[in-house]
Amino acid sequence: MFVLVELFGIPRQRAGQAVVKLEVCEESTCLGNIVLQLTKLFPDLAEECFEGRRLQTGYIASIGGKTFVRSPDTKIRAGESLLVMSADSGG
Amino acid sequence: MSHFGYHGHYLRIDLETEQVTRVPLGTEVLRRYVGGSGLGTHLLLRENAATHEPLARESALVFAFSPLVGSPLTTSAKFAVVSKSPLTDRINDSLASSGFAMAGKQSGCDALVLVGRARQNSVLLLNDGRFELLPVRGLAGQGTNQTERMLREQLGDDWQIASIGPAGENLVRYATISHAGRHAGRGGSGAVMGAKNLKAIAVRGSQMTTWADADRLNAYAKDLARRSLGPETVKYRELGTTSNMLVFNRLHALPTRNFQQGSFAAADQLAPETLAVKRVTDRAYCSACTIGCEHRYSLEEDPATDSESVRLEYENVFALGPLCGIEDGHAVLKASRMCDQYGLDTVSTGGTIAFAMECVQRGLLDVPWLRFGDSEALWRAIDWIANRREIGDQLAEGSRRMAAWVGQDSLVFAPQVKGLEIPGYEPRALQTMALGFAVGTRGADHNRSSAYEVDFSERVDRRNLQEGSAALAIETEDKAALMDSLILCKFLRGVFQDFYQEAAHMLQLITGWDVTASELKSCASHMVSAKKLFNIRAGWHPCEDTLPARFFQEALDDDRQTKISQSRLGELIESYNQLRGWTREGYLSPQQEQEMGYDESGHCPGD
Repeated sequence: MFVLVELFGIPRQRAGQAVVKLEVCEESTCLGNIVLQLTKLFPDLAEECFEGRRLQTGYIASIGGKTFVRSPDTKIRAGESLLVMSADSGG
Repeated sequence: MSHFGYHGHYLRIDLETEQVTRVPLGTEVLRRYVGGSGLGTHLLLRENAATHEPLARESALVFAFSPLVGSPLTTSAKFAVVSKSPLTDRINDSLASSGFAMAGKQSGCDALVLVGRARQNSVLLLNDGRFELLPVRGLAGQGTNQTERMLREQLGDDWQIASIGPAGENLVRYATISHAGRHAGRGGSGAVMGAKNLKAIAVRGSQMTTWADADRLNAYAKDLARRSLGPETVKYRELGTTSNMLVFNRLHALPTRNFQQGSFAAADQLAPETLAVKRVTDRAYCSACTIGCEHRYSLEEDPATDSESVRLEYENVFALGPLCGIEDGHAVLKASRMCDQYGLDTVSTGGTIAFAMECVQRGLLDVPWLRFGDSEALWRAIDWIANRREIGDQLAEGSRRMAAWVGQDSLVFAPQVKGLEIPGYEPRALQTMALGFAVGTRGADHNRSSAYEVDFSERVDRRNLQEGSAALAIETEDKAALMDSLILCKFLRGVFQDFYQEAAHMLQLITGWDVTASELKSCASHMVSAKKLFNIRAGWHPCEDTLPARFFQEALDDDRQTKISQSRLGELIESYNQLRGWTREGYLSPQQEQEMGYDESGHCPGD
């Protein structure tokens, strides 16, 4: 079972790729666990965007592009997409 | 009277009689309106400018500085240009940055109020408070950068210059006032300046204001500068605002082909991640800024061969790219450079052209060459707008007036609110922003509302208007009103733990006032009401607070769930009005109007 993580902007720059397919052991996981998995894979991304299991204040995640989430305990179901991006959308 | 942070007066210049009046600004007014956009609104009300035609000789054009200008606070070198908009016939305040703000304030005033019309096309010089009008020689028809260059050569490098391009001279209703490659862009202040026969304003001076507590201000400024380099701003520093492109595209929030879709197949080609590979040349900073959000791109494949790079922002790229169906990065860069040189607001330019392209697509307009996705058509349309040539003369009027000319119900899909073209935030996908657009005093505007901040958070379901959206829209609008009056760059907003608390602290250190966060909250709300009062006096009607019918009638092609409920929006507009203490319809109560203090002649207590 997988969660597809889509990275945008600075998170994409730091990870060096746009999409990451993460394996999850159960039907669902949580945002905090995904952040920890990404930290192992992409130390530069973690340094810029994460703080332990949390997103740094300048960043936010979205489930499937519909709901924005920040809490590390937010449930993410296998098969869902998780978008990670800058929290500020000023243009 | 001596003030810290202020000169304590503004200069009222009658361009016709060449008479200059130094008008005192009392502490009560300064404390209530702070500077920038707030102070400019006050001065317009004082001039009774709401009742004048924006391009008439008696209209007023205000350049307002702020107490923070010249201080060591990062991003504070900004000025506001405030007038009645020739595009919307409502209030318009647009901001720009850099050396003009500092030199303008050092010329010895807190604001310039320009009335009347110069007898011939002129350049206004303000040299340490001394005013002079010079006839324009060789500048007529020149682009904005070239005008600055030529004037500098003539006057010297220590002058700072704000100018208009051919679009302003030709009274295009969305012409800009430009300074150092930055633009007071929205709402057509460049046409107001053109109507006053002013090609440029050149300022210099040596009159510095002092700070109430300079040592603590310096220490605070250092701390703020350090924080400004944190994770909240890294996006702006490394990629710039164009990094919105791929996110908005993924969320179906990227207005495409005149708001017919919310995503664009070629978005990848216009994103900085792609453009930067070959075309990025450098990064620039406004004066007194630590962030440096300005990313410049080359028009040439080999940047070394390009004499003049282009500053690219999300709004330029969205409006001249996806909105017009343009896929090619080079075409968008060239269109953007043309707008900068002609002195055209890119959002209104792209919005009006995209509207016309849809009219052609629907067979409502017989201009066969004006097709979505055609770069040559985009460039030609921009050139014709700036020069008011053929169909360009209609396009120069903006999408609302053009819809009235085209007829056939085209107003339904004219992408505007109160006449101001909608920026790059698809209202159906970002519905708190949609509410902010509808109620905005200057029309559809993301900078004065900032409600998209709420949509990009866990606080709302962005695709549905909900209870609480009105309060959230007010919260972001008030915060923006204060930021635009202090003036500070909005890219700093994520840096503040408690914005009002820190704003009060800054003002205490600068002015010595015992100002509090709660006083500033009430000032911010008051500023929004003052803008509303201006609009009411200019003839505002509640039916203006809405969106184009398209957003109620059509879902996005690529996200069928997104449509705005017109009745829900209406309920939330009523909630918004009531939370502001206005009547349900949106008028100020007689008591509020009286408390505001402007009589019909513009006199205000505390002056």
